[in-house]
Amino acid sequence: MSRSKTITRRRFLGTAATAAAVAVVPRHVLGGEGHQPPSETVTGALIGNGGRGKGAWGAMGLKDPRQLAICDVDRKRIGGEPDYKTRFLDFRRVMERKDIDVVCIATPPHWHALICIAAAQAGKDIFCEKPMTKFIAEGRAIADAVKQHNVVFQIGTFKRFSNAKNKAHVENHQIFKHGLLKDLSGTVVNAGAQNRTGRTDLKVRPVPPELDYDMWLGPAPYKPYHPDRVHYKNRFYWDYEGGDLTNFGAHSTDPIFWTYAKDNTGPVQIEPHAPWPQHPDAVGHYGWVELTFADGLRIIVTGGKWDKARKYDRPKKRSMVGAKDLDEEGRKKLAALPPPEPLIRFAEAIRTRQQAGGNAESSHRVTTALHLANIAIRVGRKIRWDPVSEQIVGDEEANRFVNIPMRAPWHL
Amino acid sequence: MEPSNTPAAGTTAVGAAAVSALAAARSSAAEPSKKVADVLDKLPADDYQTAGRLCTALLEGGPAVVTELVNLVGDEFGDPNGVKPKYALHGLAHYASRPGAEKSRAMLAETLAAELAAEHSDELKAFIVRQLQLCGRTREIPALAKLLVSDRLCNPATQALVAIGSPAALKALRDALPKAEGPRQVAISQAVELLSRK
Repeated sequence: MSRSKTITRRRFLGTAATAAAVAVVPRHVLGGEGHQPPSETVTGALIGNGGRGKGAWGAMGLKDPRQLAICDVDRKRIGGEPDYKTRFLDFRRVMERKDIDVVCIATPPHWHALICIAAAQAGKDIFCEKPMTKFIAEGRAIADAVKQHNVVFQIGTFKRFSNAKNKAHVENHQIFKHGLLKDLSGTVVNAGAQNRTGRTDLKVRPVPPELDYDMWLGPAPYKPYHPDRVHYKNRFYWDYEGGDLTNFGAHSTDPIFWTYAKDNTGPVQIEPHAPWPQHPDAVGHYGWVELTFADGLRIIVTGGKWDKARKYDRPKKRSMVGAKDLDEEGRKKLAALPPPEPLIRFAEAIRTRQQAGGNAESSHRVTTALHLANIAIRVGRKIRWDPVSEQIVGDEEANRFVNIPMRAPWHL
Repeated sequence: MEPSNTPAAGTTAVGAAAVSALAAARSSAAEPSKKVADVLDKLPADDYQTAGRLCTALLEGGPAVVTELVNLVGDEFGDPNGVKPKYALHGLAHYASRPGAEKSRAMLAETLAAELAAEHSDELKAFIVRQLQLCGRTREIPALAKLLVSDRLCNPATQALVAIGSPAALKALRDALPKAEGPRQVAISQAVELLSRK
């Protein structure tokens, strides 16, 4: 491989800064019409080449990224046996490649945390499919690793970017962020999610030869193989994801967290409404879950498939608030506020070395709220959450879902 | 790391034969009593009040009902006859662990721990261990620690011990470590490290 093909964006940025002082930089390096300079060419690896692989790669929004490696535990998805140059079965080997700037993670969620942390430790920027994690402590570990290693993180959901450009949402965001309205107890927001379920009657089936099932399971408990447990349908088993509540719920809840300025906190009370008990293995139906925040905001995550007659029927008093809801003094304060920090996309975040709009901290907070909803559904009772200590209060059993021990040799 | 596609009981020829023999031996006992059958028919319930009443009815049956439910789950993973009993036992693990229900939780956990010494398949024991990961406390540590010598059950047992997380759990893991080899040694060492951090 020639030197021009192996130069990386970050190495270029470092060397170009030094060289610029003493040399004339050629036109093709600077870019311009018809030229893409190395400084804008991002190199990446796709980890998890299943149903969301190509979509996630495109969703990064990078200009002509160069895919240098592909990794999956299913040999069919990497075109045969791994060569550990461009085709990998083990993500840890991908991290050894110094010429990869970005990893795009589209594996099942029970793998997200360990791969994100390994990527951060290897100094690679991260694009991670939603939901960010399988359980709450993983999100804190990712956010800490991203901060410690100064890498960029973006979650694979984007509606918050349009909310941040919408005047009404921005006004609402400002009012909540700066506490301009004291009584928020009537504010109720619906976050819709689908509600598909897992199967409770799966028998043991032979593992197909192309699949490294032990590596597919990774940190998840060992359970015998069945094709319904892997390759997308894994979403509907508690060991690997949280069903559609975390799957589609991430799309609807993430923008709400921005609009209502909850990116650094979480609900303090979580009340479920669902059939009970849930199956120990397969995700079941749920009706809705009320997430109540310290300022009175309530987010209602609704499933919709349980029983139509049991739809959430509490009167919806108010959703968005605006200047019209403030008194004279409040309106003056609102008008005097500086605009909120703009949310920047992944590509710009990589280029400017700032955190992206869907960064690790906010994604952790959003995903935590959804995990809490699932924990309440599973234990079948109202739970209380401390968003500062990130612990469930006064319920030892429920709190055991916050940091679930992984199957060795994997651990946070 | 464990080898790829680690065979577990139920996936190897020997394991499958053992499970079938156990299942056959237990087939006559795999009929629920009327009291238990009445509850199983109603699970899962549509509301928490009803579910609570059903769980209370099962817990009032004491260790005998818990043992009956364990036997009804069956030795084979995915046994269709075991679906409702799994709902019931898993529900009990949550219900009895609710704040303020210590007596019920202690009875359930103690009975489940005793079942780990009974003649069940590894898959059924793994299921029991996962319930103890939720409702187990210090008292269940010795029963879980005995599983650290099992290739199939060592990992779930370490996870349950880490979840229980007391100095007694750490001691049990440390005591087991010198005799462990291979993947069991890795699992136990890791659990020791995790608990030592707490």
